[in-house]
Amino acid sequence: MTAYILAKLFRAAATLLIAVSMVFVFIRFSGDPAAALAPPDAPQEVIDQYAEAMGLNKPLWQQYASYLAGLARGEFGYSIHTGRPALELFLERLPSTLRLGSAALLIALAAGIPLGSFAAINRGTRIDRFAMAFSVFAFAMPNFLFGLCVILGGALIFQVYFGGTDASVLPAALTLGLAAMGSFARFARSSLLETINAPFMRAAEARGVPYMRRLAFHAAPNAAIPLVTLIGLSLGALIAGSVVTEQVFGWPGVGQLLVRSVATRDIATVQFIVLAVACTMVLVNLLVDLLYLVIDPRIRSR
Amino acid sequence: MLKLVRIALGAIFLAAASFAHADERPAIKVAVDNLWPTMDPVIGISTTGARVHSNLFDTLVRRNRWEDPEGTTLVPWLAESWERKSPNVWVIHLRDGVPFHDGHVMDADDVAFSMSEERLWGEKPLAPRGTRYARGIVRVEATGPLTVEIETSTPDPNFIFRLVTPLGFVLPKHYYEEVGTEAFGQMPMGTGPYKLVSFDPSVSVEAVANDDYWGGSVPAKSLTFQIVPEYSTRFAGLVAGEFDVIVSVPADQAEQVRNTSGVKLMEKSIENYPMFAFNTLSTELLPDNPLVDANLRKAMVTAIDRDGIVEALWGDKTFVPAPFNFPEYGQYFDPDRKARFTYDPERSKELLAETGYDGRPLVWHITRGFYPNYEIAAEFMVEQWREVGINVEIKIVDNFSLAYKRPFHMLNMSMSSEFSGDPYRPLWMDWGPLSSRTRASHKTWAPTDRFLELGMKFESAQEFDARNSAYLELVEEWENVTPGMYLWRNVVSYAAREDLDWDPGNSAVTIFDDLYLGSS
Amino acid sequence: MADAPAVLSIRNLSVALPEGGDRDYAVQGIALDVKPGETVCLVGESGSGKTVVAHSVIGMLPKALPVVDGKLRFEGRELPPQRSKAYDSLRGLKISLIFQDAVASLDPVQRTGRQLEEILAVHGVARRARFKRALEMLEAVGLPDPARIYRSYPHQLSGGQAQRVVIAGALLLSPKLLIADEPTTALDVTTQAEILGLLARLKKERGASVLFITHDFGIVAEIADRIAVMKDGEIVEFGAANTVLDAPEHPYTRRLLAAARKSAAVRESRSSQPVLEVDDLHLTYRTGGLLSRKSVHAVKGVSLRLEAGRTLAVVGESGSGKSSMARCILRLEAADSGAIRFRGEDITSLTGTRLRALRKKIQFVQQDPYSSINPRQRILSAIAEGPIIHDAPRREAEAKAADLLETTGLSAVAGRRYPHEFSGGQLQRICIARALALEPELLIADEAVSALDVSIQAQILDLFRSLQSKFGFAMVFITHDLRVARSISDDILVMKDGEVVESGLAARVFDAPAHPYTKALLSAAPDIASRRTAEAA
Repeated sequence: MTAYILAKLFRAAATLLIAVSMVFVFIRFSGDPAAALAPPDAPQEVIDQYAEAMGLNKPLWQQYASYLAGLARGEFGYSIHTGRPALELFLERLPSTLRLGSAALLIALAAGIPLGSFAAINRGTRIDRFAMAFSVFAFAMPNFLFGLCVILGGALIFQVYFGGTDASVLPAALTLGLAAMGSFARFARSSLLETINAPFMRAAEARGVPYMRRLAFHAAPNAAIPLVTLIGLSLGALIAGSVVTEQVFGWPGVGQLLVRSVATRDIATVQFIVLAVACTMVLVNLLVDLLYLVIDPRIRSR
Repeated sequence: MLKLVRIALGAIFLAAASFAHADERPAIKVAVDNLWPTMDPVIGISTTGARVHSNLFDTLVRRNRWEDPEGTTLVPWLAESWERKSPNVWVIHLRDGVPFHDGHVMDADDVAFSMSEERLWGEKPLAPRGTRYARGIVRVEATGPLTVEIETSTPDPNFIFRLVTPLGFVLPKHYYEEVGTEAFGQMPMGTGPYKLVSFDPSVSVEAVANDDYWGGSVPAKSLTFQIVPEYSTRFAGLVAGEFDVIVSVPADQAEQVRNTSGVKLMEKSIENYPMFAFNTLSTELLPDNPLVDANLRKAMVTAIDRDGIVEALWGDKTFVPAPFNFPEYGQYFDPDRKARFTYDPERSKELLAETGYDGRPLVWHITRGFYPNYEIAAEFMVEQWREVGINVEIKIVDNFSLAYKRPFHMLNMSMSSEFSGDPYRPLWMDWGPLSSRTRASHKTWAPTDRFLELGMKFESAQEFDARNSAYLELVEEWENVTPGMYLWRNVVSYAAREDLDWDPGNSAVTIFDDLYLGSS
Repeated sequence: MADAPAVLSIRNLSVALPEGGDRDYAVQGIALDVKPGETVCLVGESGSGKTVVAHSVIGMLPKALPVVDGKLRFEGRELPPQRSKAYDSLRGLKISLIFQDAVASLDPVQRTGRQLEEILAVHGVARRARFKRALEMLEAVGLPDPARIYRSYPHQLSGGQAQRVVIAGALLLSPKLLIADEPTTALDVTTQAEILGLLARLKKERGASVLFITHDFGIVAEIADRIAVMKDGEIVEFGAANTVLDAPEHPYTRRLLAAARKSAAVRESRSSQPVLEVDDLHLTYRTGGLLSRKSVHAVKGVSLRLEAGRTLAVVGESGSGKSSMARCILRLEAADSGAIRFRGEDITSLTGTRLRALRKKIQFVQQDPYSSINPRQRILSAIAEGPIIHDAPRREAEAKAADLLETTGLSAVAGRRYPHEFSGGQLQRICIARALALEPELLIADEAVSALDVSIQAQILDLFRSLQSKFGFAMVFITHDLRVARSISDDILVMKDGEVVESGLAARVFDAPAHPYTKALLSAAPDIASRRTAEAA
């Protein structure tokens, strides 16, 4: 067990190291950060001054080494523009992203799973076809496009502005959660169908267990197991989607901070956000593994 | 009946009375695509910063765009008057009793600090981007409570024009020194009509009316610049009444704004000219570059029907300038002067025939979406070049540092004309021996000896006639070389609610004081 | 007993098949009754409609299989319509059904005890009484540590234990009728014998009747009071067990019985150079991480010798190490120690091109033909693929593949079709053809007929024999089924816990087993021949 956990932790650390290293390299090779920071017609001296201020004139390996050393000491660097710690900038944005993300996840779960279950129970009927058509639409609709439809529709038809944090979280959360809702619905349907047709469901029927009880006590818990993985995975998609959704809705969250920091080559901030997102993903994966132990006895006894 | 009238009158009176207490000025909200990360008016030189700066700060001198969209006249502002004490020394007399937002009254020390060696033009300046404006300054000194002396290394007859640029913004020395450069940029303070309440570079700038403003009443009770990165979202917010003004309406969306009721579109041509530079140099990465031959460059310029393209893309919103002949230059502007090389396909073919051009593709680096309509125009131009037998290949990249990566034959850029009273900047600073064109890693030409000689002559001329003739000779030499080609005068578009009485003039700078914003 | 009123009586039952099936009815004109205390065996091959009959009795026929005619009566009263809610109070309480795969018929995420209690709960037994009754029942089905089993999850049980738990659930409320649908097919012979014994005992104790569905005449002979033989949806013969077994009337019954009784003719050992020699082979599996390392010593010192043209049957229960040994010979596992010699050459640690060349000479046929063949590949190209990989020209390989298809009893046209268009027996022929395409000198068949119906089994075994005499390959035939082993082998190797407990000429081992384990295996195997002795005991 200890070895298992150690291996997991080692892998997590390796994942994080790879993530931060890739960002470190990519942000430096997608054009000179100092040049990107200065206006297009800035003279060379100005660009050089920026490079010096950002420590970009040192050899790459030196920059990398001092970056990693900083990470090890828990120093994540300072935003080049504001001079404030990257961590602080991130933490400021976090609440509004969490608010948006959790609302989106909630919508996706609360709408997607019942929809998929309902479709599975009514398999092959018009309800099923409609539910699946809807979930394919939801999954395939780019949230950028859907967000624009929502926001323009709101303004042109209802004279209401759905953007910004003053408005309700619902339109933005719906936009962000739509794709996850679609995939939850489809996955819930197939998982439940597979379970409903499993031999133990026939066996329970043969023992006289009534239909609703079979669904609630046998089908649902078994069908829920693979869904946990999907929910864990979809968190990554939610984070990625929040970058776009926050842009469209003018929502001042981590996603917007990231886009902006990449555009202005605010290296420390970009690196910290990527590190934080990678950490989140690693943690979620770990959480999913632990949750499996709770809900699936077959894994527990391994 | 009488009773009813009396009740009604009473109600109106009451309403009026309660109104008198409430602040009836509007709260103006502007949706912008972005904000510069710092609001220091020099470190933050940029379109996104300039929209904000003049609302928080005042310059020593300003341009009158509220009556003349081109703003060619100077208006004394924080500087009440000035005189040229000697060819190299200017004396500025400051306005008395101008308070900063904290009540501290502005004096000569603040001005001297704002233009100081320490801040702008020393060895390691606090705001390095100020060097260009402060070029030639060798001394800035407070010689009295409200007088400042400025000395330049060479005589500069147009020095005062520089005081309308970011060089002219006056910062509170005491506050700046107390909080430091970075903190000042995050919580700036000036003498302007609005005082900052909060600034978050990725969210918004929020400011309220400065009721102690020396320049008179402030027409809005508050002013907010909010980042809404997506144009459609800004537009939605405008239509829904959330915003009063939105910036950067894409060229292809203008029609939609015009057709929407309750909002209006404002398209302004501004002092910036999209163009491209020919790479006239043969380098290691680009050996035997055919563009070294001026005839090929001229053949390319004469192959393009710029007027036709601009008409098709912009209608009458802008025009094609003859090189360096810009309306913002007052006396130097000559509406009748034409470019030497204009659209003439026959001439183009003749010129081409004199070159050894072998039809090899010429690579044109263009930064994606940076200049409105640039990519579309480029497509047209590639077609017209093809007609005369020149192959140009467009390579669109994501940012300028990628565009600057060699090898390339042509490079997109724009030239700001900068209001300095004469064509000094675009002609001499942007193409002269100290310019990026000749010195940066992405340099594209080496000035000819004649160009350098004429440039010196121009720089040292003190009287208009001498300066003007030097200017015209310099332009001629530039056209002889043809190291680039101007496309059009840039256009910025705003959309605003229909009943907003506000007009920024031909400028990307937005100011909401009572000269620009009517108190409707 | 003959005059007692029937617990279950089926009259003229016909169930339609969906349109486009290979016949119009799943079952037609079924007439059958089960009297109190009686065991009726419903025998037939898969697809004969046995399970349809079983499911119709418990009201679980799917909509796609509508009852079009006939009456079903239970304890004198007509049963409700299929899938009716009224069945909820009959199932588990009056009629129970157990399935072939016991582990799969338990909910994997619930403790077995809870699943047993659920049966009591849904049939109205008071909460307090449930635990005790469930525990008693677990004890009654002969589970060693009922309290532990009660707390266990299904995956923690062996197949035999799980089937006991399922039986406990089925008999918990002492139903009048127990329908057992192939309940022992997935089990080892010894476990099968125990389960059959248990069913017999509980049936007597609880006064239940049993409708036992099987394809295995060995079992039928052991337990049936009466036998109904089904073929293509109809009962072709129904009568007392002795009558049917001793004097079958219908030709189909006779054919089934003959297939079950068949045993291989003994062939003389030809002393030539051995194709395969194994000396003192050991294999240990290691699993787990650094600190929780587990090791299983799967093969312990096995030695054998096999000559060309002969068949060695390796017999043992699951977990005895037969398959592990086969994987060593195939070089899919690396042996810890010992030697494997193929045509005199030591192949124990062969690598690279020589190993590749060896793979061509030793071929493998697996138990499940469905999973060992690519569903998206046409049959002909699946067969020709091996030779093509080993550098045969495509045209030649395909011509040979077509030949092999005919040799293995399929038409050459079949080569253009896809795997899903074939039955299990046909697919196994295809797998054999594929193995023979490389002209192996040694064929290893691992439970190659275990998934097949008896009569198909007989055909495939015949095919193996005729192909062997035609091509002359040696064969290692791994099976848990002694009847199969007897019918195909020249020599036999009996394995238990990774060791060889007995080996020798097949005839000798079957007629005079020396090792107690071999004896136990032989006596546990249900066999028509052993019926008389079982009755006498």
